[in-house]
Amino acid sequence: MSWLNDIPGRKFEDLFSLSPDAGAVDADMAAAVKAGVDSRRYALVSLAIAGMLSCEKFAEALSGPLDIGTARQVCTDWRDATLDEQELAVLAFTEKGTMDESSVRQVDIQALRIAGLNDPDILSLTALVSYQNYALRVAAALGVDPR
Amino acid sequence: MLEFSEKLTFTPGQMGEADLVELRRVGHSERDILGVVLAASYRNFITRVADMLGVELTDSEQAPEEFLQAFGVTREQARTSMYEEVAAK
Repeated sequence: MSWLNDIPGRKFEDLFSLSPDAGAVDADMAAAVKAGVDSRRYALVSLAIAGMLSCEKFAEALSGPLDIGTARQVCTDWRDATLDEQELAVLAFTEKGTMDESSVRQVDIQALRIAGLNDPDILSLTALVSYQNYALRVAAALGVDPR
Repeated sequence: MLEFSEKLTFTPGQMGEADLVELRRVGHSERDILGVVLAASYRNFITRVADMLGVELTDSEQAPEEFLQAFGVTREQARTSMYEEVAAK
């Protein structure tokens, strides 16, 4: 009998019943990441990554303050979504950090600054992109809803 | 375990129950499976933090020599993106 069968509501945080110490670390990471961005940016970045990883099934769970139509559009192809210039720059950085992270260069950071992000914003965005590349894989592997 | 980790890294959207069944079949416990998922996923986190901010990993984050030998790669190759090698195939 798998512990996965005992997770009510398929909640991400309940995965850690087998490893409470890891759960505590994950909870701290998740809280720190969420504290660094507003709910719209959190949703946009998370949805775009879900689409890049072919995890479109998570669109509703990750929609946050977005309507489900916008959420699905961002997940399917964020370039065709109705987004402002700063959001497009954020998602371009998100894509590079997800699909080809070793190619990120100073020019990519500079593009974010030109779009209006300051250094704490960029650090928070990097943390979010990296965290969701972890959390979405955990959710995909174990069949729970992402954070 | 490594096939599972590779699939989770490159094609997470294709993960399914069959992948967990296979880990159990080769002898992994439920706790092992959680550990493998967390380890592979965490690596996808920490390499991005390092690459996106242009920092060097500390010694404790570098792969040990015996690990590199097991995979037949040099330390320099290990620093490059796995996506580049997959794309080249």
